[in-house]
Amino acid sequence: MGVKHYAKVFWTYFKLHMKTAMEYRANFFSQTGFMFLNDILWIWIWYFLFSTFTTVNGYTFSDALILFGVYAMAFGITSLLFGNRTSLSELIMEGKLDFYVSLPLDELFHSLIAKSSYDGLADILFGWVILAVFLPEGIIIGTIVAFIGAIVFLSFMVLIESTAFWMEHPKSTTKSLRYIVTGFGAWPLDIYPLSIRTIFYIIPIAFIGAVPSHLVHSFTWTEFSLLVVIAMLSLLFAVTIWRIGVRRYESGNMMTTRI
Amino acid sequence: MSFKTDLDVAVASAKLSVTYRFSMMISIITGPLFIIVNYIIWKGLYAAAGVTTIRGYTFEQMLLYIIISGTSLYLTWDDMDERLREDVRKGSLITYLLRPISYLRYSFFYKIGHRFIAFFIEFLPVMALLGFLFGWSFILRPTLLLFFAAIAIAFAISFLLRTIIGMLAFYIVRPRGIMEVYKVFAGFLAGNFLSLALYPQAFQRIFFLLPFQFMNFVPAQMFIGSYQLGGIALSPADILLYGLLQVFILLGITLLLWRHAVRKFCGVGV
Repeated sequence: MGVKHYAKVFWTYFKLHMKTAMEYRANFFSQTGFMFLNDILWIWIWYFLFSTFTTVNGYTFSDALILFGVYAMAFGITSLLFGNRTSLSELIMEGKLDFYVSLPLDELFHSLIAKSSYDGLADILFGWVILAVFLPEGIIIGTIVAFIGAIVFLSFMVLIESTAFWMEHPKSTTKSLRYIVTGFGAWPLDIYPLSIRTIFYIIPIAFIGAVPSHLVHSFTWTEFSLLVVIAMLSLLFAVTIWRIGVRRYESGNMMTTRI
Repeated sequence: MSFKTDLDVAVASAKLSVTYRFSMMISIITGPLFIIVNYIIWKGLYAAAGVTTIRGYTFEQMLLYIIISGTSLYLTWDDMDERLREDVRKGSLITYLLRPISYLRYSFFYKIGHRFIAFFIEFLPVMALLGFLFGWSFILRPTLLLFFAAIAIAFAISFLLRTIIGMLAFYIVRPRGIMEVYKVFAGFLAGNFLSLALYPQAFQRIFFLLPFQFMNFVPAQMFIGSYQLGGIALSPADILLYGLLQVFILLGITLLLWRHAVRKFCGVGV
């Protein structure tokens, strides 16, 4: 099965998710609406911090918001399109991966797209609003780099969730590791000393929000190419670890009804 | 339902929590990571901005607030809304309603057992790391008792608020969205992201009236040893008494809502 087939499956699932969301409209609109408000709360928090010191190593309030906007978009894209990105360990633990491994479709791809978190739409919208207000000319490039940042973020999530192949009950571990990625990812890189910054380029947390937002400010093909390469390598690494891990997967012979 | 039954529920819950020993050991290592994350972020922020205080908070005070506020969550964490939602959705609530036990009381003691284990595997490692980094006098301070008293109030308030939110499942087919949103706003109103004392006075006065402050802000402030919000400075005894009052108000609201909500439950064909 080729890319075309996968794209078709992806699109079918996406349409199904949207139809399901529209069935419970009140839930859909309240969830996305309030998530948007939550993002706005963060503007407020940033405002309080920046009202004290105006700039951080040259980073202004608007720079920090653009970073947060691009980061929120990357986060939202993975929530919306790969809703199971934080539930893979649960699927592994409870033997629910049986359904996916028994079908002629890549189990990682299939399990990731089988769920959608609609509140991701609010994060994407928030990112667009931030860019429209603070850097309107950066909307297109911001959306493109946020998509690439989303690949890096998704790779981190797959890696973290894969720990469930080696651990019996990884919930608190995956939660802590997720905290590291989301905790560091949303802050400007310039606040860290050089040693920490270097680590974030190697790990590569910097490529989720910091590098994409830098590209929105001052685009260069070299930095863009680096972002693409890092995103591809991260994904490749995460998929490889998943493939090694999935060999250890043991079916629970669980019989369930998927409604 | 006797106290012995309550105790049995708590013990069973504690036993369930320690089933996966290896994972438990790993979480002892990964749990305190949030201290390192916050240390790096805030240290970097203060240094890069070239400031010694942010709205009156020094780096040490800010770090202490964030760490203690985050650590208190280990002891008060609750998923009552999720469990209630699932029990209503799947109909498994009927198994509790048919037994001579109170679902709410059962869930409360279940939480006690669960969090008792968290005290050892999540709370203590973080405190030990803090003691190791900043000295034991930093942890073993006279305000520790006040902190635990505030935690007891936070424990009850987070349970009651989650129960109220969970009861939405009796009325709405898909309440998950609202529940997720509640978590975010509760975190903000509780002072999970930033100390409530950093916001403008007008907002602080609103925060003061709400019960959310008792989940993060009050335990952290009790540990630090002072309390002031919205221009109101209260002694530790007064704020703890105010917290108890909030618990009783919430308990009344919860029981009232429960009586109404449980009548909506349909467990046909379970």
